[in-house]
Amino acid sequence: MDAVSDPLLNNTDNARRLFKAFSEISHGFSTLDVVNASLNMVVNAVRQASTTQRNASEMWDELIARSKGLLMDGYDSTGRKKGIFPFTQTLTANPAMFKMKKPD
Amino acid sequence: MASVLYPLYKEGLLGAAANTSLNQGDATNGPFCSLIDQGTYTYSAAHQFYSSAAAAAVGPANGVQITTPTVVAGTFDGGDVTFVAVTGNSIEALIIYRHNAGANTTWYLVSMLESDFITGLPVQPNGGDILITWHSSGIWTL
Repeated sequence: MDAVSDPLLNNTDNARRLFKAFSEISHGFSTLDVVNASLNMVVNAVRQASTTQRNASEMWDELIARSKGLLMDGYDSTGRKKGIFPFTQTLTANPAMFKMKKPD
Repeated sequence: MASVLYPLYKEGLLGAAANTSLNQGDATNGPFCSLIDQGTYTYSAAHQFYSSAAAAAVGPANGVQITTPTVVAGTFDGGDVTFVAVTGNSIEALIIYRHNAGANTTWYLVSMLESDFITGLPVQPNGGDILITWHSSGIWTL
C-alpha cells in the first residue's frame, strides 16, 4: 500500500476508484466483515503514513471527524434515514377542518 | 389564503354556463385535479380558466381525472386520485377544474384546496405516487 499522504495519489478520483473496487469485492460479505476489513485498512494506512504516535493520533482524529460528518449527512433533522427510494405520499381531506363545508 | 371556490365558477353555475357540471365522468368531460406549486401560481379571484394555472401544475400538466363524480344534495364527491411517479416543485395546493373537449382556456377553475382542507400539504414530490383521499362524506358541499 502506498502512503496516503502521497500528494500524487491523494485525490478524489483515486479514492473513488478504490472505493468502487472495494465495494465490488465486498459484495456477499457481512456488514461486520466489511467494517472490520475497512478499519484494518485504515489503521494500516495511518500507521504507514505516520512516523510518530502523535501524528497517527491526529490523523486518526481527523479521519473520524470527517467520516462522522459524511455518516450524519445520510440522516434528516428528525434523525431518520433520508429517503433514497421513491415512496407513496398521501394527502387527505382534513376531517377536523372540513366538516363538509364549502371552500369560502 | 384559505381554500376557495373560484368566484367566476360560482357565477358560471348561477348563470347556467356551459361546461360547469361536475357530475359527468367520461374521460373528456368532468372534474379533474391538479397538483399546484404556489411558488409559480398565485390565486386571483379574476382567474376563470385552467390556462391561468396550467404552468404551475406539478406532475401531469392536465392533472388527473376525478372518476365517478357525483353531485347529490349539494355535495360534490368523487373517487380518490392517484398521481403516478411525481417529480418536480413542491406542492402547496390542489386545484379542481372542469375539463372539456376544448382548449384549457375553456376549462373552468372550480376550487383551490390548500392546507386548511388538505392534510399533508405542502408536499415535496420524491418520485413516488401521490395519493389524494377525499373526506368520506364528499369533497365539498355548497
